[in-house]
Amino acid sequence: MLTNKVFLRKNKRGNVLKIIREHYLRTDLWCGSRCCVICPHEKHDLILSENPTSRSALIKEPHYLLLDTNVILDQIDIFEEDVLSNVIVVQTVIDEVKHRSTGVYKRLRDILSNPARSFYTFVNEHHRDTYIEREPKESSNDRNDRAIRKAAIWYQNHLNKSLKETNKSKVKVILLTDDADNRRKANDEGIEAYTVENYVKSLTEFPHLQDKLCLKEYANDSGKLPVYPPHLTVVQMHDGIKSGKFYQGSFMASRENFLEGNVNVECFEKFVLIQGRESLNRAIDGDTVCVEVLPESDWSSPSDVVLEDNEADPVDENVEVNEDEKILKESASNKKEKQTTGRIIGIIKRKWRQYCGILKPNEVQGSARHIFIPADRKIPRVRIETRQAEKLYNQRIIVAIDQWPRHSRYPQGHFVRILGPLGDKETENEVLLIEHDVPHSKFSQEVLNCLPSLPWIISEQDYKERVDLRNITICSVDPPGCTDIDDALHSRLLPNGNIEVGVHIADVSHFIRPGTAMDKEAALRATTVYLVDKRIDMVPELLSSNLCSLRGNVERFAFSCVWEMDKDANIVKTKFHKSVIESKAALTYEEAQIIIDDKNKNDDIAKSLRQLNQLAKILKRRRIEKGALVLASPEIRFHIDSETNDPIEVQAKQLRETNSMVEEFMLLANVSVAEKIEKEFPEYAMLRRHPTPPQANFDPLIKAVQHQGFDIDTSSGKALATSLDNIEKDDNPYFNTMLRILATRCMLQAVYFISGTLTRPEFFHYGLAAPIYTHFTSPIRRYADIIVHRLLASCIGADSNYQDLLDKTKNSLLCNNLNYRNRMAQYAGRASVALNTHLFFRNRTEEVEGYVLFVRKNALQILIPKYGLEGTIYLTGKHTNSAVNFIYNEENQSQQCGSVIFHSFDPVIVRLSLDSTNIQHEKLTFELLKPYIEGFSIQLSDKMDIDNAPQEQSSDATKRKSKESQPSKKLSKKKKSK
Amino acid sequence: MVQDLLSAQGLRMDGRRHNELRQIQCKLGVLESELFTHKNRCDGSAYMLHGNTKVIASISGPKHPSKSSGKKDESFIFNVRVKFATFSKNGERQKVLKNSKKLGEIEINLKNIFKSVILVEKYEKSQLDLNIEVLQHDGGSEICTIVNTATLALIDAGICMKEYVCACTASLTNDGLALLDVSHLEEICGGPTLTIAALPRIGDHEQSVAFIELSQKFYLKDLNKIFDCCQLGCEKIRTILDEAIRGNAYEHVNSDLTSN
Amino acid sequence: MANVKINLLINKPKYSAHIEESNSRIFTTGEVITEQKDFMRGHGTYLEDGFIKSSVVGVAKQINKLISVVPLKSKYVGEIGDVIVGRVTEISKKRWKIDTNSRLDSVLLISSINLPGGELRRRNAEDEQSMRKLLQEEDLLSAEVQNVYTDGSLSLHTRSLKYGKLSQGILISVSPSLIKRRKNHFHNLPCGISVIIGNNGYIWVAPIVNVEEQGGGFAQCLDPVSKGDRETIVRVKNCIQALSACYVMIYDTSIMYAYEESMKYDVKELLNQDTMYEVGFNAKQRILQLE
Repeated sequence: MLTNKVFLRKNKRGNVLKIIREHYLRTDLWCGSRCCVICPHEKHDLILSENPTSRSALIKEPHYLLLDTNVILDQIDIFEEDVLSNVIVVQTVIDEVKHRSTGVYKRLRDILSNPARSFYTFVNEHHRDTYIEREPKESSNDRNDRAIRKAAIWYQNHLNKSLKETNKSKVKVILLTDDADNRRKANDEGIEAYTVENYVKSLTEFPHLQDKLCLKEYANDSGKLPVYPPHLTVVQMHDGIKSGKFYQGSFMASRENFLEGNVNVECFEKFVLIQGRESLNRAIDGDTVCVEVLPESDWSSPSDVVLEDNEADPVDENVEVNEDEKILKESASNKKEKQTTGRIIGIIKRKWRQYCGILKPNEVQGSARHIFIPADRKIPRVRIETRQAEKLYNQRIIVAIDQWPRHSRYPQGHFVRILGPLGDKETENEVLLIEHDVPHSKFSQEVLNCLPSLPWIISEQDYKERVDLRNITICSVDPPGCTDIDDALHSRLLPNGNIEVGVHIADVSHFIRPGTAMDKEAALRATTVYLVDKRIDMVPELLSSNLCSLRGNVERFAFSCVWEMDKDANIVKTKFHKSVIESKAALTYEEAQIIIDDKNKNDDIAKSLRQLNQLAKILKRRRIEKGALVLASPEIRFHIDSETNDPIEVQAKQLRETNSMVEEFMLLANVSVAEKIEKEFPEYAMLRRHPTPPQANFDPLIKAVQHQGFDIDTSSGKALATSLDNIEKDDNPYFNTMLRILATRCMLQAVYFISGTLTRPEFFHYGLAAPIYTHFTSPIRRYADIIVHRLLASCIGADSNYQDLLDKTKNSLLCNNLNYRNRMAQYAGRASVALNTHLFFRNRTEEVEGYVLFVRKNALQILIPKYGLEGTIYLTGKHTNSAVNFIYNEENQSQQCGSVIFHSFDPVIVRLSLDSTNIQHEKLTFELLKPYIEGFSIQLSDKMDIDNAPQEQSSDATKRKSKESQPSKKLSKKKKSK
Repeated sequence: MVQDLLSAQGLRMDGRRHNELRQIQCKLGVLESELFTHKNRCDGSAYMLHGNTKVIASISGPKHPSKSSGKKDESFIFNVRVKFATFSKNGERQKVLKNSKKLGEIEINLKNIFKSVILVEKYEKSQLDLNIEVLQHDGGSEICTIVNTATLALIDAGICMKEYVCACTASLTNDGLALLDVSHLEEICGGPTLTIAALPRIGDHEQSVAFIELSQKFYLKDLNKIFDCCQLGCEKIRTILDEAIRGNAYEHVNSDLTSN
Repeated sequence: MANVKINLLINKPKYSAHIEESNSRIFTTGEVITEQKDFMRGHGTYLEDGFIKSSVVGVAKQINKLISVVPLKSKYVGEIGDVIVGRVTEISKKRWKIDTNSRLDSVLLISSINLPGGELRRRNAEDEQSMRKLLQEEDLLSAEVQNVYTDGSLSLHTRSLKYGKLSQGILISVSPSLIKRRKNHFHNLPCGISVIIGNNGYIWVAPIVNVEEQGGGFAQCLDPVSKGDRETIVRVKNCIQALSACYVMIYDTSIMYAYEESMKYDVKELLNQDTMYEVGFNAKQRILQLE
């Protein structure tokens, strides 16, 4: 059964090593075909159908397909279609795919593991008859091609032999390869081979497949003038980087300016600036590129103009004069501060993914060539070919990029699938989830299998292992409509006069065991993503909304952190244990506030809440004294119409005392847990830190404040907090809030990390002014908390630890993922707010009060506190039609037009409306109403009285609008529920 | 790159299934006694190839304790010496520390393992030297091959023992399936490695374990699974050793030994 | 450049096809020999769970109720009267320590030797001081087992003219189990040389020396040996090794058979593995025919 083969492999790691690995060749690997009578198959091995009827016009006989590597890499989209089945994929190919592209490999694996698709994996590399050695001087590619052909021959012979015995009709094996040389050799060896294109085109019943064909091969029409300089070869790049002539880094396209980008090169402190189409040289956001730094005389500075690719004519590619580029050059050259500038000379690794976007209508009727406009502005437009353009207009579609030849202004790609109609909420949500890389597919069966079976009963054993807190008055306080309640609180007086305070966190780690499919899925998702009208759960709903959720009046498992405190909120004792609780009430912030304020209420819950509230105030005060920052970011809530799911009203989020009460205890619990796990696992604790921002980050804040005649001290968190508290401007009540918003922008992101990877001082959490911090309190919606739960459980002996829990490198990688997903979740949340804002402003204009947040060279950035919105008023350039001249003063950051001067923080009145001219990127237009500038500002509407509180005005507008579209009954119901 | 230890087709990276050993070849009596001086003559030897690990073991003794051994208090002197050839790793010449901690550990472990199976009372006042030379080694759990080779060498030397000592490793995939006989590659790719040296008895369900070592942590609930796998491996190895020993013995018996 | 031929173990011919399995059953370490309780355990066995188990690999032997297993290869276990060839390892008070290929070094007391100058001479202190004159470290000698001590070590004597120091010749060591116990272990072979086949597996091949001339057996005889004799000695040595390699019992007849079989080859060709096995195997065939 076991045949051995030892083979040699050379490996370069500084010096040449001879690596000898065993490679066992077997005789017990079967062909997987139902028409085979030779192999002693197990039932589940039989994958290829007995009579694979041909749908191809090219091959009449029934056949199996055998694929080569490039076919899969390029045409995976086609194979994801259900049309193709009875396909053999050999191990050689799978290995190569895995090596070349993880993304494609994952998709391939999904196809292979789906028995309905009849894709069979043939382990040719370990089959005695199909394994081949690499011959001297043969490249590994050639060897692999030969191995694939060998497998094809083996299959053909094997099937023939089998069919002869049964006298059945012949089943052929067809090799699909796009490599002409391979095809020729295959034909020589007696294997039928075709290109994918030919084959797919011969499937006459399924013309839609053709759209998905990757265009790699046939775009080589020469004769066109190259638009871009050529890329260097891999060897040239490698040598250049080695000799220090070139640099390697990841390319980040600018969101605002399509002709600009940065390359993050490790050895430079600042990013290397890339400007202009030729310098960008076909790099796409995320690619790993090779850059050459230009001589210092050619250095430039980032432009502060906002440019969008609005090239109208996609057919004529040789537009030599490029207006945008000119603008860019102008704006860049007249600046003093130069930055390291370079040009991209080669791409080391592409990071192409699939992109959402829309099809741009082609003026030429019936043409198959179209331009695709991605939703992400950092991604260039993509040229695709499709015959179903009519169907795709006004749809959100997904497109993959295939290649970007020199002569083509835009990269070439192919259509993958339709998401849904443009502007449809579901579709738009899908788009923003895809664009923010949020895994949002349904939980797989494998994951669901990890769920406990219902009805879920707490066993005697469980009671024994846990502390029974069922008789304690515990309650939870959450926002309204919250179903994933992961924290609950209690407090009670102890006989010794001290107070016992407990924070009870849902015991998610009890249900999610390490290493299970559910655990892996949760680790991948890392966080629950909250969109305005949708929640993408990190764990299946049964857990998040039921078994883990600490709902009122049901018994639930919790992980408790219980302190004994004195009256001044000093911790006397801390203990952690797993427990069984029964929450007596699941309150909203509002309800809790009412209970606290209602003097007549004196039950256990009320007493407990008041006690907690009192302690929380002390804790908060103490925290702020230590230098914790109170920052602001405009947050709003949408009131969604229950029927249409459209937002009907926007409201800034209201903060109550109870919000802060819950927050204080969560912070306290997090700090206590952080200290505990760090003490127990100094090397492996998962903590959260908020790095102190470099002073340079505060420059814009300091500058802006100086113009207002104030000084701000940013030397430390404490100093900043004090400064922020002291700066007030009587004529501008929103001034302080704006400062805090600005200050927030100066901060760095808080991140998870593993304690062993950093030194103790680096653990500091700047925003909270805590020397050590972690996340413990929301395991239902954050994966980091699950890890922290496991660590803590291991500390107190409540659960065993496992190998990966104490693996520094693996957990560091996990942290990276958590940080990335958190960031993306945050962006997705914001994007969702923006989306809903746009929906809100559809068919609606409003005139509201706003403030100048920043003064840019060609624009003003305006903040609308009421909606938490930010927008731009373009002053010059092609975005405005006015002839009014603004004078930009870079020194004190102001724009002047006649007697009107704009500074940061100046109040303005703007009119908001939705600009739907760009159907993909609907955007809010800000138009200046006041101060009035002749020829620039728009006329005041007659009804508008500026001195009136705009608040009232807008809510009137809301009412009016909704009345028009909705039956009034519904509206009043909504109102009540608020 | 983290690779899957077991493919979807149930094959490991080198093509084995989860319960298969690597190739094992062994020979007894590979060293001729003439090659040694009378003081240090070789009384038994064995060679084993296990996967890519190659080990030669030789036994000298039992013999009169040499003066230099000097440990008079010990009634039976058992010396173990393990050496790694300079070319043993990757075929690359590298410096091998002579008295490294790792070697010392292996030596002590071997000593303890074999002292528990040799019928020590038969060898009072004598000295037995076990010399191990690792010619090529493929990964960290070389103790496994060393133990098996040493067993063969001891048997070749006619030393009285209770049982064969067989050592084997096992690991665990992420899906909780036990993998028998971990190769170097699999070891690097992670997964805990359990090494046991057992005295597998034919038809006896309770094996005695002489040595157990664990490279990483894993859940306690998996221990039985992985342990059973190891024991199964030990039994398989025992069969292989037994075959080799019997094969070797029949050549001997062909001479009319019984006529004495 | 010398013509070097390297013998690889891997090329060792297999004769297992000729095994007649009938003659004995091999027991391996740990194997249960008998489940019956009324046997006594002998050498090479141990008792566990009431069963007699084999502690070595070898052939079981039953004498009445005593069961023992004879290992295929082991150290020499001496019996009184055995002829041995040994090497002096150490000289201590009144005794020589002799390596006899057994577990412990054997002892040759000064009182167990015939001193030069006649059997009846009294030993005195002077003799003890001049022991090194008789036998030095690394000297070879032939002797007989006089006694076996409780710890298994042997006491030797050389109180016969045929025993004593060995001067010129070759020592071969084979497994003690290959030596056939016979009445006589001193042979003058027809080919004109003498062998002493020690029961301990040490075999001495030397030119024939007149015993009478030896005088007490402790004189060093350094007469030149003719080239012909030397060649014969080496040939015999190679033959013995060939027999040993083929696991043939070694005694005068088998040596002579091997010697005769080897005549068609040069002496040096006998070192060649294939030739060696052929010679050994042919000798074995002849012995089998004899039986």
